[in-house]
Amino acid sequence: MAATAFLVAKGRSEHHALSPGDREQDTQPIPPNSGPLDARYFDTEANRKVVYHVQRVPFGMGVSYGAGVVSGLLGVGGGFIKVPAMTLVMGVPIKVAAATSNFMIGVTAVSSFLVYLGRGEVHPAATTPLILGTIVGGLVGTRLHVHIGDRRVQLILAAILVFATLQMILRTLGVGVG
Amino acid sequence: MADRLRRERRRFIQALMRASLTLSAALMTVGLVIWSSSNQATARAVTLDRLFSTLDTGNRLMLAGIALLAITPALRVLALLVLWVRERAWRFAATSTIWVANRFWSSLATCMSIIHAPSLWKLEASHIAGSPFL
Repeated sequence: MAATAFLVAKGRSEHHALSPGDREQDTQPIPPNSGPLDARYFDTEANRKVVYHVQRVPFGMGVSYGAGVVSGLLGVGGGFIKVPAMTLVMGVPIKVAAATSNFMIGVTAVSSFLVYLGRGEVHPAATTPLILGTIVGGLVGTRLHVHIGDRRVQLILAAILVFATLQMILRTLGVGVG
Repeated sequence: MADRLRRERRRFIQALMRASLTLSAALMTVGLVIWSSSNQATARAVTLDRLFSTLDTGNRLMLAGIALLAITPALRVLALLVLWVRERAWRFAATSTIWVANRFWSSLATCMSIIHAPSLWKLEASHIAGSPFL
């Protein structure tokens, strides 16, 4: 995880920018040699359209499988594996990777929700305040996300990975970290 | 033409996601307020039998909000599936169909196993006697 944090902090997205344009006038064509999974978005912070080429999709599937195993085994979200993998290997810009990872986690949650409901382990009154807090935090995060540069998002992710790494090491060593 | 479709698709999905998120947050907030004012000392787990019978209004609303939030990503894929079929984008439509079918069958299998093999879930058969699944 620490190595991933280093790579994320060091890495630069391989997408390239097109000429600045109006967000609503989405008229800049995707290059003719683009693949079916290539896409673009308007980066408000950089004031430009960004086109990116998704690469190595089979590798991404393998990493997602690994993230699922780790997630089920350790009870942690797989985002800390999927986001660096998408950014570093598949050529997805970090903002798109963060949004995609959130979406994937949401999809996985549907199955888990049914399983936990079937086992009688869902406490709505205990869960609801946490979810409402997460929704508010998520809305704030997505607003910030638009105005923060890719580089800064990468550094934030790297810092969180380092923190999670230290926390897991300390927990493994039996040092209380809350 | 393609850009116009893309813009319309994006706006529709944005509106759908916003509506779903707002409704689920509203359900959970109202449910939490009702539950808090009903003098229940502790949060209790919800089991399938209580879900359809003795569950109080507050818990029922909160659970509806949680369920709506949980299925929101699936709603997005379903909406995109319809739009892609309309746009004749068959490759994306096929991928979405496979995904939707996979989610549907896995969810159905989970529900069926809860009902027909309650021991797997450490539930007594009497717990699900009132379930409308039966």
